[in-house]
Amino acid sequence: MKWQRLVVIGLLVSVLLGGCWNRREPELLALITAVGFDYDAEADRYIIHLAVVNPLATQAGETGGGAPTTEMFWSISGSGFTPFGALRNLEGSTTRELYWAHARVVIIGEGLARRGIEDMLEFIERERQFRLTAFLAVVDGPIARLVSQAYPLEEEPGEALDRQILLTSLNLATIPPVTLRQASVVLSRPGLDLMLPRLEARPSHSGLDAPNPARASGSAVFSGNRMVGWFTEDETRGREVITGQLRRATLELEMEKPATGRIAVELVSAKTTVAARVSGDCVTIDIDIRADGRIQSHAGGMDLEFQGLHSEALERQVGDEVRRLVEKAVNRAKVLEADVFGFGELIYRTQPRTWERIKDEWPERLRELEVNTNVRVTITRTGLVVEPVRAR
Amino acid sequence: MRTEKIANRQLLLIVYMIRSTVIIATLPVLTSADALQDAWVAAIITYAGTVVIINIIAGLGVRYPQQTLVEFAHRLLGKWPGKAVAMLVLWSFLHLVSVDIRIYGEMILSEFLTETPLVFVISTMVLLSAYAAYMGVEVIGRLADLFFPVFVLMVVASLLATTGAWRPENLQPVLARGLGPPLRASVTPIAVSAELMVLAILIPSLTQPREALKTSLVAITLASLTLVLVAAVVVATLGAEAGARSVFPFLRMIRSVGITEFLERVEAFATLAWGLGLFITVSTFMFCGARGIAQVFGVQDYRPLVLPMAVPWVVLSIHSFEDMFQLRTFFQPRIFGPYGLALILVPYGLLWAGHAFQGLLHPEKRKRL
Repeated sequence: MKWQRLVVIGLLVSVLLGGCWNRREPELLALITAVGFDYDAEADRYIIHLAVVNPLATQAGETGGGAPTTEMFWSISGSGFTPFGALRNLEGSTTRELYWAHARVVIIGEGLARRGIEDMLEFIERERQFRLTAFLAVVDGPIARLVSQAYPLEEEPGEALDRQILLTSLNLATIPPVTLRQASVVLSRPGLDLMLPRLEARPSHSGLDAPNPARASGSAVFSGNRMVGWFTEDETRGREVITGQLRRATLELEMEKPATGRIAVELVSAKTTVAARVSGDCVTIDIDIRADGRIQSHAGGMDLEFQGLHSEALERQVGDEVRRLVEKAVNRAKVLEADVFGFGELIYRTQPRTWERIKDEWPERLRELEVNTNVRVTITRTGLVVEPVRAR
Repeated sequence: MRTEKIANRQLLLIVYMIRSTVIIATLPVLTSADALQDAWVAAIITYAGTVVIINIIAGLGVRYPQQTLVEFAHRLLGKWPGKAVAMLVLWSFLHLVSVDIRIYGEMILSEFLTETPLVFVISTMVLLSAYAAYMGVEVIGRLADLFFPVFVLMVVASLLATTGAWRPENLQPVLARGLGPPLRASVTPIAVSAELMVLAILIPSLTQPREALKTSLVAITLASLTLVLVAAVVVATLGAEAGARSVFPFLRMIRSVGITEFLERVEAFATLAWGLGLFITVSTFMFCGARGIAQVFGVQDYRPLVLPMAVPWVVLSIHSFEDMFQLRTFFQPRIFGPYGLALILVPYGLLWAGHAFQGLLHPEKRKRL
């Protein structure tokens, strides 16, 4: 009885000896780090651009030491009837299986963005390998430039663009960082439109003065799932202030009387409360912004004393600048009929019955929206010096 | 035969895991109807409904603390009707849990091991559980003790991992469309509580069978609290629509967030928790199923029945539905609702009627029990 049991257990355990059902060795995969989707209107095909980490380069770095002999990444593109088809069609011209799970950015060509990004997002959501933590951006210019040129400080485009999007949005607030997950949330909310970072694709060359192929600046504005226009850097900042996503932004001003000179103030935190009032057909939005500022640079003016009146004047001036950004953003959004601030969503969230009544005509309501902005900036810190350098 | 006993604490853990595993993984409060951002309200309604059902099931069980459902059905309804009712309950064990296993198999196949045959995933789980069931209820109880902390830790860790990605606005507006949508969304999860009929077999194995109702109420309260939390967190993280669209919203939620650059891809936690919870569920049901069958057919020991029973279990779980579309349809309130509720209410309606009738016939007998 005992030995019979042992035989049975032995047989059962031996099933596991084969290990996994099939194998997928990491060394044999080609890791995709950046994906670009575009659409060719003439051929009616989806275009896909990939930046793939070159395994030879990483292996050379590990074993040989010293500089790798091959390029750090490889860039390929292909087309297909569906986004997934475009990807699969590529596999005839690669030697390793393409692996999605490490894609860090998804960039979209302007052509596809204007046609609608639903098909692309649908494919990404369905694909099990894909991580929704990747950043999204719209490319102004040929996508190929971003995935086939070397980035001076980075090994490959995925990592480079990921870092660039984060850095720019944190330090300048001139682009809105959006992950795939956030994009799908935004698209599903009524009265809220999507805004993605704009990446300018620039030609590059090799050498010590090679420019970074991408410049992150401004944003692409969507209405529903179609892109309808661009926001400038100022407009994007205005929107980041309204939505309370601004982390840090530098404002440069020419000081008005009584002080003189140029000054750079960094907004370090902005707290925004937005309220909506609907009476009949008239929608009023009240935006209340409280921000903290810090003087980062003050050139040219020698007579600035940060006391009482002067500091108040500066605060008022910075506040006006913030209001200007906000108004710019709102006006541009009205023209594009895209509610990237979520004013409609605010009404939907807080007054669902009112929203039911006005949701169909929201684009028109948006155009006639009355926006009151109230800004209060406090300059609390002046950096490590209070007064500027004085040459005597 | 030695009588095996489990502590009430162990029953609590078992019921918690049975109730938390599949309900959390597939989140029918969000996916089965149009509750959307009110899924957490649906979870609260589910709690209320489940409390009623647990009172129906365990309420009768504690009145016959020394007998399983098969035995007291026999006594209340007579020999053959009693056996028929017992078979109906045993069928629901087999069917509901084989669907659970299938969903787990689907998850493994569509998320991780796309080329592994379904039968392999399912039969591994069933065989493992059959082994635990063969070892007896005490072993299952101890496994529940062992796995429960891991299970809770994994669920909590998964929820905490998403904190940075919450967008509380996703939960608004609250109840904008009235109570209708969350009510509809709570039908399926309430009907799933037909699974709690295992209590009717487990109660005599308890050290304090008379406390069973209280124990299971505590378990249900904890499980419902977990469900409300998970429903709210999934909606806050993924948005109501994306959550409702997904096949496995909980897993999708975890996959869609990265905690830091160094700590990403934590869905292994959730998958492990699901596996452990399902293992406890399946072994409990196999034990109860085998024990019930043994009593219906007058077999002394349930053990020889466990391994043969694994066969229909695997087969049914593979053939319970053809594809994901059928699964989605099956869990719709208008299909699963009546089915699951009938599985509870038909046998228990008869049993309670029998109980009331017996009470009228022999009022003195009742006091003795």
